[in-house]
Amino acid sequence: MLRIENLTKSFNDLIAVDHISFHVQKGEIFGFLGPNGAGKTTTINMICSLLKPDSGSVFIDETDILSASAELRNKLGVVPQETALYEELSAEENLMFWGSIYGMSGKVLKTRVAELLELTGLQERARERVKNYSGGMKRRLNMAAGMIHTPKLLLLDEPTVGIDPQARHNMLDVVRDVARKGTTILYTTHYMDEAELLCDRLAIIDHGRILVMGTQQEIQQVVGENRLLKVSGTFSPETAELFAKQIDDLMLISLKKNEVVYGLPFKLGTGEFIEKLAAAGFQIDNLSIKEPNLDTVFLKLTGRELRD
Amino acid sequence: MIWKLIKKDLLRKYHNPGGFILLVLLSLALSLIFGLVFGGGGNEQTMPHVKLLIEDHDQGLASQLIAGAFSRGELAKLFETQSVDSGAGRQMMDKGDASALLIIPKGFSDSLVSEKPTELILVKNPSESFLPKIAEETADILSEGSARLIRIVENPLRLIRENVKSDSTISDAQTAAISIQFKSLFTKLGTLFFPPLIHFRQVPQKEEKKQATGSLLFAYLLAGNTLMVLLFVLEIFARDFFRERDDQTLFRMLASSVTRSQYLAAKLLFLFASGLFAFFLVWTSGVILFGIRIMEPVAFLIFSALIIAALTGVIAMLYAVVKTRAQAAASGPAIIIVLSMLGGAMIPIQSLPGFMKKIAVISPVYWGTDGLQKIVISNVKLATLPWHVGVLLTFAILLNLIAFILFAKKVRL
Repeated sequence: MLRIENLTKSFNDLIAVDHISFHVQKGEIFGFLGPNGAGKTTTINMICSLLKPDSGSVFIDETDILSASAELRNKLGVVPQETALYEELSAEENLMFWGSIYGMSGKVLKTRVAELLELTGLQERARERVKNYSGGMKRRLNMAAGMIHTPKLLLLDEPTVGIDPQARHNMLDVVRDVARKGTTILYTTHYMDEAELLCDRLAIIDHGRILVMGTQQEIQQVVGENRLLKVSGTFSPETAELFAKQIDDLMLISLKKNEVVYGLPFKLGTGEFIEKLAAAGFQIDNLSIKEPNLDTVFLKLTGRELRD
Repeated sequence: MIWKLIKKDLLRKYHNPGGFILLVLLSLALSLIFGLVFGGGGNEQTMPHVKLLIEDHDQGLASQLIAGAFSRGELAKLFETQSVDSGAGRQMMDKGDASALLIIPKGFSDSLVSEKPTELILVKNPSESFLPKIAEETADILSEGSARLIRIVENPLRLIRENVKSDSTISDAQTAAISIQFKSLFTKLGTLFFPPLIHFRQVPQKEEKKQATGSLLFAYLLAGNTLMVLLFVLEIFARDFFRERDDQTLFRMLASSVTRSQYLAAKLLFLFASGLFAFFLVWTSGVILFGIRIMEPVAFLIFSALIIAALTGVIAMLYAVVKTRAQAAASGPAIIIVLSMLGGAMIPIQSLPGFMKKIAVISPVYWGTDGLQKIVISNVKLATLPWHVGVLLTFAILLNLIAFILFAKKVRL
């Protein structure tokens, strides 16, 4: 459904997207995971042909988006990061407008608007102005506006930013429902748990480059079954590096002043590991353990946590 | 597609009309306040009286003709004249006791009869804007009329003057010569005047059609105020250029099959339509509230559309040039005030210093205000305003076109 080849985009000296390639199959939820500024939104803008790539191509249904007709663009639905809505209008008026610019009209449009209002739970306040809505309601309407024309490919750019857990849970349900009905979804987020819950496959992106791509199982093999253990306290960098070399299969993931992260082999118990740290001269102030997940993968690959 | 985009913006403004209504009311309020300050009240009884001092050093035929004209007929309703002695007029003017002082120099009538250049001196009260202007225009017309009249009767007068100078008794032959001159003059004029092509008759209905003199002042003020307020209305609506970009509704639109050209065309047409609506709302209110009568509705409609197209171009250019919403908000009102001031929308153009009058032509507001005043006050037709129409049309086409090109480059996300 979506194929991206060697896509690159720079803004002056900053390389926002650096030779990325991936494809998304029909009906798949593909996660595009990375911290803020990783290049996710720039990639989406190029997929929508709102930004011209420096090099590379975007194909939707094997047609280059740059030579795309209105018909091809209508296969695409976008849910931008901001709630791209007219706050002076009601939810119903917003959806009617967004539907009309995709060529919908009359009974078809009215029926679709009613469907989406029901799906997003906004039908009771459909005629109220959007400016009176809560953040969560606006987010739901934002998503409905992107889906009004039943697109074949839906691009969701961090659709759950800034909403409460319950609203977020509801939105993820809506995304799953849409995917079940056959819509292909490219879902960008910097929330690891969302990607884990939702995506069939995903790519982790940082500084414009894809670090790793595949199913969750494939990606987690990067860290194996290692747990991550973050130690804060007083120790020298040399001590931390030497310590990693002394213990079999112990990986030094990142090292900062007074903070080190190790990838702990499954065979090594936590208690035993702490004893070894103390024996090596670490004065430990704080210690935290993370079970292997996408966050630990990101930490392993970049030396940073996603929220950094 | 363009209509769908315009309809959406109209619906948005319909739901949120506060700012728009406030600006329309502002235009009417300004006209009302200025009108009351300068004495307008919608009928002739409350027309401003121009207090005119006349210092007549000549006391001749022409000077009495001019001085007397101010206190007769229609002009008597407008002017309150007072004869003053030499020096007294200046003193009264210094105290601000009159709108203007007309000084008729000694030998004025003789100069006219002898076809020598002469002058009338009008001293205007600098603290008043409109009333001295009325005195100036009227004195100008009267002096022109007197000069022409004197020239028509110049030959018979020359003969009389020669006889008066020689201080001799006029002979029968001379009387006959003068009579022949007058007969010849009346014969010539008779072909022009008789039979009369225009017959006057009393038609009460036609009287009703006449613009009430008090309404003239409001019409004059409203012509300027509307244009200034119109610029503010357009500026507020043009803020959508940035708002839609910042709110990402533009992103969503351009990701669909809406093209940049369609989006920009819709925005410019929406601005034009909003301006048109605001304009006619103000003038309809003006007709109802101030009793203004539009005697040349076709000229008024076409010229108004031209003004709005040109002003749409001004605002579109402003937004095409600035980079952020903050820059537009800071520079917009300043530019509007300068253009309005230069264009005579705030202060009558005649009251501006000479150098400002010269540069006023760069402001479309000048051409719009001046043309509109001529249409609503002097009831002129569009054909008599070729320069105004041409300049406004050029402004409209050029500014909108350049703004469109600049925006097309700018509408990037």
